[in-house]
Amino acid sequence: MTTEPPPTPSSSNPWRRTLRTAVAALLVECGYQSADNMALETLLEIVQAYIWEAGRSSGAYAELAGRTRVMPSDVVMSLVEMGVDFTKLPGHAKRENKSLILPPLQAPNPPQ
Amino acid sequence: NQQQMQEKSAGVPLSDFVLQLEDYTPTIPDSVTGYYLNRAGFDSSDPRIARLISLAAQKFISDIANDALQHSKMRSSGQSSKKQGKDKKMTLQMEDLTPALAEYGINVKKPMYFI
Repeated sequence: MTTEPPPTPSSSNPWRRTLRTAVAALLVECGYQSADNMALETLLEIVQAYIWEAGRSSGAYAELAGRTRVMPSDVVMSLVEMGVDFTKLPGHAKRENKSLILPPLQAPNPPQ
Repeated sequence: NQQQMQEKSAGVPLSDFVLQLEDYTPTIPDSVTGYYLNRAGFDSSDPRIARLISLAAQKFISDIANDALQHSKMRSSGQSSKKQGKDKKMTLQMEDLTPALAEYGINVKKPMYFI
């Protein structure tokens, strides 16, 4: 996947950079060979907001049930509320051309 | 008859699916999703939770990208077919992404000062 170089210096946030790679990998799976920087960044902002909203909503469901720990059922409730069709999720999970991204490595803290 | 009942209700396969997430690696790494979940004030000690959210987010992006691909194919089919055969490289562009996102209720507008 080739993209034009970002207009601003690449984000220093390693998680954001990894997420960018993951979004690019998903685009390649769909059949794209390249992406405009602005389109890729737009999708990146959307997926960030999506994960954030899913987390916020799941936490709210857990608190509503009087728990502090979030359970899978809370996540399912919030995702259904966000419009996810769960009958299609296993098919997406088992797709043939799944690509895997290496997560950013946690560097050990320098000795004080 | 009982099998028919199970097929109709989404509850039984869903719980199986959540259990299957125990040994599954989504494209968006767990630690990345975990980082964004922590920012939402969410303590994810259970890896299945992050994987479920990763999968949903991946599906969302894939669906949008597929819609954008259909838009660009429709747009290029209106143009001369000669050029289409030459220009096989698909590039995700804002003019395809914007109508695809509009179908999901996301309205993207380019800021006036953005060149």
